[in-house]
Amino acid sequence: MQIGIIANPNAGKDIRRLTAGASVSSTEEKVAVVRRFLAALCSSCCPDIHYLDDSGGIVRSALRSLGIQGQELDVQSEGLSTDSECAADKLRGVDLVVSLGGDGTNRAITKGWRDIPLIALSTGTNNAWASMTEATSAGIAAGHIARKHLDEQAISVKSKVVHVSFDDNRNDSLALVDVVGTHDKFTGARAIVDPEQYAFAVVTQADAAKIGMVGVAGACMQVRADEKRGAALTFNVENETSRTVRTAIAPGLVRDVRIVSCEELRFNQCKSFSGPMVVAFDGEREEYLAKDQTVNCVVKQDGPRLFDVSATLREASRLGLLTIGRSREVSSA
Amino acid sequence: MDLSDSTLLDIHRRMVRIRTFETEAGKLAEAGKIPGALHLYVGQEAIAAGVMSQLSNQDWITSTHRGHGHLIAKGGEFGPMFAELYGRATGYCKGKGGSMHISNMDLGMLGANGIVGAGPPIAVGAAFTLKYRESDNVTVTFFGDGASNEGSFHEAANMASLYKLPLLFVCENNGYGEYTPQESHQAILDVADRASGYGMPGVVVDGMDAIAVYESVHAAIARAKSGSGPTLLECKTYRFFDHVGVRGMGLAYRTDEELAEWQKRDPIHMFEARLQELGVLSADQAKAIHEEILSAVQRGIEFAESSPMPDPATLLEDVYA
Repeated sequence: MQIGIIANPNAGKDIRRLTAGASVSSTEEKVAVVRRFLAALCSSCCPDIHYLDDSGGIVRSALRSLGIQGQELDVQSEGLSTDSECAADKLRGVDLVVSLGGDGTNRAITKGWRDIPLIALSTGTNNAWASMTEATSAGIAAGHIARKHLDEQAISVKSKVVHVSFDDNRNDSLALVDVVGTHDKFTGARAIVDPEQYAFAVVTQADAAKIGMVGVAGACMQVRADEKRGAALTFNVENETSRTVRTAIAPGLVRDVRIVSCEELRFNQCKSFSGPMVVAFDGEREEYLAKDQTVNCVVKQDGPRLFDVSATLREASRLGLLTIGRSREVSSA
Repeated sequence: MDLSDSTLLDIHRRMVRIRTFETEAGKLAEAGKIPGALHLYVGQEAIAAGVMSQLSNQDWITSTHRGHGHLIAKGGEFGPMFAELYGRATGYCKGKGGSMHISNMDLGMLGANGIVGAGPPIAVGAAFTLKYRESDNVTVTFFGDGASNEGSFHEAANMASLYKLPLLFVCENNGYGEYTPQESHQAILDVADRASGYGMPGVVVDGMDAIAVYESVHAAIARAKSGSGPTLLECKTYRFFDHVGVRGMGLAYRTDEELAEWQKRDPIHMFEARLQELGVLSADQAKAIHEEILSAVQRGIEFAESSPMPDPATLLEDVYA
């Protein structure tokens, strides 16, 4: 049984701690999360642990403190998102990978191994994709998932991906949650904080209960994570606003957003948008698009297999897999 | 954030002024023309420019031993700056301060400081003054990753947060405390993590990106002016020259490959490239700005070299303690 661990030390530390009051996720807290995960995992099995020796030494510290031997991946950690991407690529073939980060971290991981089997523990900011899950529960669940004795369909979702291409020679890209075009001139502090700058969005989910662009889309329509479709939105065109929604664009930041259109996007249907603008992926401004350049977005269901910790433990309980030794019926009387 | 062309060009000019001054100062130091140690700011320009482009002369800063860039970005003139480095009577501190104690109260620059971590407590006093006077101004204290280990930083952070002072703690984390890599002098990856211990926000900022700095500082200033208190901004950066001078003492504490990697993200080159894409600054205009500033730097050097040495009779003047 082989399990990979990728922790992003940079997650949960950007400007949204200041502009939106988002939670701080210190490196030491991340070490504690990995410790809890490993302690639970190793209480019932002894998997081979393969890990990215991240620039914060998160996984290394957790392993050392528990006296667990792990195998360091052959990745030169530079403190960049490419660390997670390279690590995921090196982990191809393991039974399960556990990530610590936000949507941006999991996007980097997906770039390295598109259909990676994953438990995503949220230590980021906007987390429409990674879930807030107790690491101890995730550790117990990981053992059951890696043993492969549960029905995969019952405990996981095949994730959707927005595939992004440009009409010039730059590399294709992807997003797990959203691709957003903004009228910003710079990538700057990366996070998108001003809805007046929104130009377009393509999302894989629309859910009013979530934060960020998924929540904005969710104010207009509902698209579940397992539905075979996405949604496309346009914003802020003078005199063409069809509705204004008040929604959480970031943790602690509720703003009015002027929506021109919000429509279903079928699988393999291409939506194209022209510059000038900055294009953000899963909440981070990253690419510049000049006036004569175009970005093309297509939603497909060919992303990571994302495991649900709660569903996994419920299924394990139903099958009696959480019972130690001989079981006997417990009367409720 | 929608910045005007004039703001973008102002940030660019501040960075080029620092780079040109420091490059020429480095040459003079290596040639033995400037006495004492020079700690040059080359590579870190985006931080000073991103901060100071939002401050007025009524906003105060405290600086570090690597302080030329801070004073230039705050509006310091090349002539009196070079004169101070040369120890001439026409310098900003009449030639008695030198590189590590250069200051100018008219510009709101409360002083470079040769003592690591000495700036933050001074900044707390300055910020307290601003609050006491019900001023709408802010104070910014610059310090490094090494200084964040000093008790002075921790005491200042505690008091600033306790009194909700209009103060920005700007940590310029260039990865080394003098010649000691960060991982050898502190057990944390991000100095920003220390903020939560004092009840203030801590943010990690790309210190090579002037706009990332600008946006973060803008938000921190708004927080300070709203009465919500201080913010710790940790700007990840790198010094392209050695700890002292240009080539330093030739110690093998970092590799050429590491330097080359960081130089790929030269803050001025990256910013100029984007300004050209936006049509804000052409290559020819950029070249003209560099040449104009180099001429001004050369005039500043001539001014310094032709200035008199301080009269020994003035030795005990301007002494505060």
